[in-house]
Amino acid sequence: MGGDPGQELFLSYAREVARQSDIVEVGIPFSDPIADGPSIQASGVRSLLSGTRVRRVIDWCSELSGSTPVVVMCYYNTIHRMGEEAFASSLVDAGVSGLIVPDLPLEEGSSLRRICARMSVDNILLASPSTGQERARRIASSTRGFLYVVSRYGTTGEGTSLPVQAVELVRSYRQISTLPVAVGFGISSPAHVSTLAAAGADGVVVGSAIVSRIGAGQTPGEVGKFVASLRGSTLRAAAIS
Amino acid sequence: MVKGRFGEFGGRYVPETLVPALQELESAYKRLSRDAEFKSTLRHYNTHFGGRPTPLYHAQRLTEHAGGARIYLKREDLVHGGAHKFNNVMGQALLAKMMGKRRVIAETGAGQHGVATAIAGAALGLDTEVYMGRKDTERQRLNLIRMELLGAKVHPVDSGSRTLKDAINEALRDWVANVRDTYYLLGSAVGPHPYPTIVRDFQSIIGREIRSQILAAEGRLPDLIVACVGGGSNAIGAFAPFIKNTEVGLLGAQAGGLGIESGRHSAPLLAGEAGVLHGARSMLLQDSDGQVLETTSISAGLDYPSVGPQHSYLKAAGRARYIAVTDAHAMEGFKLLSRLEGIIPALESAHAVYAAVEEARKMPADSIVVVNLSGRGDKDVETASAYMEGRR
Repeated sequence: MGGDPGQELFLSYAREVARQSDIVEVGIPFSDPIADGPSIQASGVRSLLSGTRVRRVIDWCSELSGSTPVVVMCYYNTIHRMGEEAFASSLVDAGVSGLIVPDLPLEEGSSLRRICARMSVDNILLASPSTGQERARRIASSTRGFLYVVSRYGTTGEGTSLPVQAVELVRSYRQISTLPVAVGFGISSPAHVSTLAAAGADGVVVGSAIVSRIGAGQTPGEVGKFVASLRGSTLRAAAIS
Repeated sequence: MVKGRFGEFGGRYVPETLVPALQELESAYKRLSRDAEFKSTLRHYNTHFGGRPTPLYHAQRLTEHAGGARIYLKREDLVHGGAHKFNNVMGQALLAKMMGKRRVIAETGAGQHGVATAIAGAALGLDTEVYMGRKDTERQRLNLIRMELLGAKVHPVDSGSRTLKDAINEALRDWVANVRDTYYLLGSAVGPHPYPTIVRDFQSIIGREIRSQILAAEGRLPDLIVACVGGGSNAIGAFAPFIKNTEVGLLGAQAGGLGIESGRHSAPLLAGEAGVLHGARSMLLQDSDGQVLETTSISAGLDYPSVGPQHSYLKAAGRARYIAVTDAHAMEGFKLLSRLEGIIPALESAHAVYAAVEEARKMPADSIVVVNLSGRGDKDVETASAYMEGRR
């Protein structure tokens, strides 16, 4: 999460996570993150209390994007406030590769998708366990970069066991998607990662497990080591910072 | 007009997990709202359980005090539960039941929607859980107790500003996790499509009754209808049946808190800009980064940074007017109605009472103002007495 655990410390954590990941996802904190559970909410609160501004997070992205591809995660009001066109072009200027907007479903996102396509920023869409087949196909054909499969019903957050439907979801999305399939929500252990890799996942997205470690006061090195342990050798791993 | 949109406002900005549930709700509502059995069941509950129709009462002494237009009160404070919230809740609870959902969740600010949901949950045998900001559980303690007595489980919310906005966030998170067996019974004309439409439709019984009652009493439509606007459900219910009658003025009273110029208020229609919160594009109090601002109001039910999208549209289209009424002026309305008419209004409704008196004062004696008295003030007596003591 951009700006967590503070304006000075953020980049040292982000660089460490990026070093261990194929893609680093940088969150822009929002006051009302309805798709997020307690860990990422707390991370956003820490960030906002330290005075994080949207422009600053995008500047940090440009510091990271030289060495690791960067994907930005933010709520739609952040984009709406700046204007879709201006926001997308600020991402381009920062060398950002992709954009995930958890509260912008297929129907509301057509103009942002057009703008992102024109500017060569991948607008990554989410599919969920509640998504029906016909809709899943439309999402799979509209997403760019990769398809983000939400592993379970609920908000983001660490889970002790992998949701039962996750493996089945990966298999079915693997079949309909021509792009890589990455799985997120509740993934926090090397065992989760290898199970999903075996089911055909091309990547995993890990957020809460990382920011909760930052919140608990682990050093950048310790957090980096955790990301490396998740990654193992089985697959390309994406990670949130 | 695009489906689910009111001009530029409205829409469905939610996580993908909720989209299929909203589509299911939309089609169930479409089907059931035309279903004869559904309509007659709802009418039965409204009449024999809710106490509808509510009176339209000529407030003689308030009229004399204002010295202008004749003022009528639409007595939604007399509905079962003590506020207009019942109208929407009963409709949606029946919808939930007919959709086969056993568990109902709701958010509440002042507690009136939570109480109404607990009432309907008890009457229909649904498991009811209510999210309520910690700050609101403290300032509306009476309603917290009522909900628990009615068998609802109340979850105090400690995130953010610990008020209505945060209660909605938490209810949405619960819904994302439990969407398969849970019905989210949203309490105001806000949120993603189809909620603003559903809530407006169920609340429109207020305006339909006003129409027939004022025609019976005065032989013509009113010149002005006044209602308080937080999320804006009582107002849209009173306004909607008159939107096409352009000779009827529509006035919404937003919570001015400590004054618009102080920056501490809850009046997005006066001081906000378009933004997206809780699934809808509407006017929103936000900073230059789009972070939602904290709001201030003496009334928990109006303490909300956004507003129902149809109100944003009515304002943009110039069909309705919106003003801000400060805490101090709302307290004046509160005392005035209590002493002149023997009716203690909810602090939310007191904003509308004050606005109506000020408007009526400027209007000729043969004109007619209707105030939607959306709720009764029992829940507010502690807040009001603390406020008055602080002033002395």
